[in-house]
Amino acid sequence: MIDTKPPLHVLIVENNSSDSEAIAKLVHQQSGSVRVSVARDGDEALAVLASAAGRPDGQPNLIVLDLGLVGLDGRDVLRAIKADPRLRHIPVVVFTGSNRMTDVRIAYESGASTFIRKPADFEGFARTVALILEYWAEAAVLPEEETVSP
Amino acid sequence: MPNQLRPVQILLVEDNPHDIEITVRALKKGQIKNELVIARDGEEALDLLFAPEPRSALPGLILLDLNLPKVGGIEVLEAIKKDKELKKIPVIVLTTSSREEDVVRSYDLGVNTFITKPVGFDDFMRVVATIREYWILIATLPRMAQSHSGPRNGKEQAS
Repeated sequence: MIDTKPPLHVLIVENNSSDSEAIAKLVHQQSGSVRVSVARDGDEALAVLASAAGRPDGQPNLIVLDLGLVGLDGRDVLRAIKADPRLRHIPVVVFTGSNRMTDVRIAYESGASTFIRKPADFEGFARTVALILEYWAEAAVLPEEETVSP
Repeated sequence: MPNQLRPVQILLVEDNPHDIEITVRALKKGQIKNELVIARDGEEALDLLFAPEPRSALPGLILLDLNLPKVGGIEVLEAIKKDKELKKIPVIVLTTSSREEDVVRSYDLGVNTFITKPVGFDDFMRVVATIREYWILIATLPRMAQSHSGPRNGKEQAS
């Protein structure tokens, strides 16, 4: 039985520093217990995840992923995460400015948990981040890392 | 404002009448325009999703209990996530189980979220409200075509 939830550790994969800072700030405002890591591109994200895998204090248990990354495309990052038996159980929330239905379809087919379009206005952006946090921190149950084996 | 061009159909797979009532009530409290379809066991869910003839639109969101008669929820989840067309439908497991093995197995099979049903009525309503707000208000759901006659569980149907 799961008596207590593991603390939420969110990895934000976002090359736009304004957006990543806004998300991190909004998360901290809503909950002081949520840990936030930031990767500015796909290669950094995969490196962070690879180095954290297997370390009980290190691995994110939620990934918020922009698709419009510099270098390694966000779609390829998603596929790489879902193809890795050490990482595939981590929910990935695609949070992106894209409004193309092909991106929606590809994201879900590739194993993204959710596709969410970034609102253009700050109020909508803040409300969306708050809901993402509420959903994953309060409602969702995430697997305990030490019980996940490749 | 719903974040869809047209409201998607929501499939609730649940055998407990009390839980069906609370879930439907909590979903409709948000005045959602989505059609709700209920399957009361795993077999009925699979029949709806793998209909042999084209019929009305496939659901764009599935709420799935694990403790189901006839065909269990894990088997239903596996069938959905192994199907080339159906796998893009978000599946939220909403179950009384809080067993770690169910959580891990569900995420390994590709569940979009695993949620344990709260025991209290108010907490249950609140969790379903959060599900509603997250998936109907802010998430973009994939557009689904009509149901197809693809093989169920990866096995070819008998001709």
